[in-house]
Amino acid sequence: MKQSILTVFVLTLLLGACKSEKKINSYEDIYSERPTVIYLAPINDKAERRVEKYPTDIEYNNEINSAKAYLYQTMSAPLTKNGYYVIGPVASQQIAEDIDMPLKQMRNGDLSVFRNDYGIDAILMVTLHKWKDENGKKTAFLEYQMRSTKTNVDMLHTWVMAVKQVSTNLKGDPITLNNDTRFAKRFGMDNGTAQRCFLVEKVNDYILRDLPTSSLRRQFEKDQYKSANPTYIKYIWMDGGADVQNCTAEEYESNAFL
Amino acid sequence: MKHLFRFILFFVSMAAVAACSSSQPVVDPPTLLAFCKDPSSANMDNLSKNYASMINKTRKTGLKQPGIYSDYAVTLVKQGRRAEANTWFNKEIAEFASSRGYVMQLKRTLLPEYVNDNTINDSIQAESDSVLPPEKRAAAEKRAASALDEKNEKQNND
Repeated sequence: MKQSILTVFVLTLLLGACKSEKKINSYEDIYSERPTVIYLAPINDKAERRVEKYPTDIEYNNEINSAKAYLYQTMSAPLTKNGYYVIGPVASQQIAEDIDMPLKQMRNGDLSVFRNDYGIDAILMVTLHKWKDENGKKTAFLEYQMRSTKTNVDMLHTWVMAVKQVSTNLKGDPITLNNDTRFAKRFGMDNGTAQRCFLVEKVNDYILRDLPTSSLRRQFEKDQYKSANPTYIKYIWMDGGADVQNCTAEEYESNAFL
Repeated sequence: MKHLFRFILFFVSMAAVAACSSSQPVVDPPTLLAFCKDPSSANMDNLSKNYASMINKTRKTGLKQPGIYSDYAVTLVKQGRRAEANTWFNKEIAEFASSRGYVMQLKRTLLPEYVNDNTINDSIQAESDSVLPPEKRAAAEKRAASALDEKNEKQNND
């Protein structure tokens, strides 16, 4: 009896492990093309701004602008930790000015100019589709796309619905947590901006740290059979920890685009 | 008393070890955020100073961060300090071979007169360590520019 229970338990674990996608399948092109130099394209920001009529509108727009800038500046750290060479923000800005490629071409067209002229192997583009606010809870709808400049294929394409949950008091009003206050103080931000910035930094880390270790490192290809992130993700940050769930394309799209 | 002395000694040595275990220095996030939000010349100057102090820290610790020299070089070009910028571009290539492609292209765009100049002046220091008065910096830039002119002239004659 005991043995059969154990067998069932082991089988369940094995099935669970087989269900999640492995890096070798999700990032096949990264293993074959071995990109090392990554250029971070400017953020494709589609988040709606308010028509500035009242001071709160200006504050809101400032929050969104700061979060966009912070999203960009925190993209390089997880990639560098994985051993990739990431072009710095000032040099990237210069490259963006020099090439001036339309967004549509960046996302679907030929990127060979980046390889031929600049020796860039891959371009990481992040689209910020929307911010949604509900009683202090902030939700960002993000799309990460990394394209090869050699074959123009997508090496990474992930959609994330990122939520920063906020604790509420008995009346239902949001409570400001100490961690949020510390983060806001460090940057001289207001609490709303700090919460958005905190969220996008965490999501950047979660998504980009999942990429395989770069071929510049000895550990290259040693992570092939580790599990990879799914394509659609629901990332929820609540009271000092993240809860990551799978999310369907329909759920993402109905929330982000409808 | 003896035990207390030993405890203090142990505590001090542990603190010294902790201080020596250097972590990778990073650019001051608020300064970088200000630049990413608004890449105005004032914010770029602040970022440039920040890069300079970070480079000096990494020089002491021996830790190098990819992209920092080339970013610093671009800020120097915008400030008109072209000879210094060339040295930092060359340093990026020397430290990180992967950067050659984009750094050479940036040199072709921003510093065409230095494209074939791969010299690295090892004595050069990022600004925060050697704060040169403007007149001395201008003189240094002038000397570097005339040396380059002479070099180009010599190449043309050859």
